[in-house]
Amino acid sequence: MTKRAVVVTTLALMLGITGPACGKNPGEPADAVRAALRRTASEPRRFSYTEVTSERTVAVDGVVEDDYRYKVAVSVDDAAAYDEVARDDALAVRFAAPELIGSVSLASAAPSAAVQDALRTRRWVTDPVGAPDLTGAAALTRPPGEDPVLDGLTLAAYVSKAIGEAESVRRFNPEAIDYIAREDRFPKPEDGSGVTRFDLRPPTIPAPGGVRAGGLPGLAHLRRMSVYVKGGVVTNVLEDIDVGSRLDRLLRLVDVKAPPRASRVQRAQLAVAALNRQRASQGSALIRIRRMSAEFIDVGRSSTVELPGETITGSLNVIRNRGRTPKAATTTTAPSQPQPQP
Amino acid sequence: MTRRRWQRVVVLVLSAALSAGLVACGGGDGGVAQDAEPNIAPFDDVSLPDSLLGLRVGKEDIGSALAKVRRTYVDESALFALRSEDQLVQATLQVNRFEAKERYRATSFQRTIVNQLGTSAPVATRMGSRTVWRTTGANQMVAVWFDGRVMYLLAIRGDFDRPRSLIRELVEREQ
Repeated sequence: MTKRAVVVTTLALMLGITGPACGKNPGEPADAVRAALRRTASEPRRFSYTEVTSERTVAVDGVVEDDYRYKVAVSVDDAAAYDEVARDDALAVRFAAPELIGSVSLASAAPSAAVQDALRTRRWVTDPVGAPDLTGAAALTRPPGEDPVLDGLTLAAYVSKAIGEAESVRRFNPEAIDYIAREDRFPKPEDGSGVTRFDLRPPTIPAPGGVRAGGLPGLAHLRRMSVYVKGGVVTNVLEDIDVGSRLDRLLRLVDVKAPPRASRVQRAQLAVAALNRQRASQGSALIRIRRMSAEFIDVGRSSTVELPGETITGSLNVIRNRGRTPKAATTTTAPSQPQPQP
Repeated sequence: MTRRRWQRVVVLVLSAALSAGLVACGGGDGGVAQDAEPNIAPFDDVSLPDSLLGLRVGKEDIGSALAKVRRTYVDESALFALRSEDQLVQATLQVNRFEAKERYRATSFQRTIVNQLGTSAPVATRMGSRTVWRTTGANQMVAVWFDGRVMYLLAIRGDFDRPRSLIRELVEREQ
């Protein structure tokens, strides 16, 4: 080893030792990302949110006027699925693909005949008191993927939580000693673009002793996330929930012997399935292998969200995370003033 | 709502203000001010419509309650009740005007006040161009916003079905 190499290695080790501690200090990358998230979430904006799993691809394109008004269009596997508009307490929904109603419905609730008929015939239904609360705890504690609309609308809170769960947040640096190019599937910022990329480093997967004590790997251990910031606001968020290079360690941890001819994807699926069985036995949320991307557009450009004109009025509490008390349906030709409940 | 129950509401709202440090107890007399005149004056320069979202809006006489507290930050205060047709109070709006000191307009001061209200950690939300702090009380949604020296504290019954519309009506009225 040359003298220069020894110096570089020594410096790298020192940086590696001090790195995690620096992540806790004010003014560090984590704080910069949180500040950008706050700024982005407090402004009117458009967004595009996509989640890809082995089962389907869900995309949500939306406009946010403020924390109480939004409109979104949801597509599943590139086909229009449903539209949703929320304006303060009121919520309007229309299914472009009525066959998907069941996928977002609660089995325990039954819509009125008029609402059911309207939803099946691709008409708007407005619930005067059915809008979800985007700022309540319930909106922020759902497992990702359960409600892609709320996932897209509350992404800033999700990323903030992910930052809290990460080992550290670092500015993207392809020359860092611990940067592994083959594991980096996210695009690098173009030179001169003004975009800064921040990478969340996952915590180390627990040792076998930790697992036996109940410390099973969670979402944070399998997460790769990068946040792109420009001009103080977030432009993109990319996330992979996958085992990546930690596959062999995870297989040992969950004590799974994969068939010799199993592909890497099959082995990863086996490992996550075994992990989820153990997590389920502990009452922990299951982990979904997924790829998520989000883009924020026109941040700060004001926009107005209005309810649709021709609509049926009725309760939408049949839809998960939406609606309140059931109401009788009535036909209106314009957005009606919501009536107080008795 | 009976007069007795309404008096309890007034006491509860003022208690919230007390807990937030907006007013302070008078010295040496169990919290009763020594002066004949109340230290916090009624806030008369507040204009609200007669009704909002079908709720009747009425200004309440809190002069006697104000006489029992001595001011620290607030120099004027008003309390409104929003009642449904059955006379049930669905919401109360307390309007406080801070003393004319620049620091009372600072976000840090406002955050300190908000942090002392409610039973859950306050969440900053955006409604139009205004920041509205949201927290909860006992079966209540609590919304707080500021306009210069004036603080609005809206407490809404938990079973009122259009809380966000009510907040919007009031917030946009002040803008």
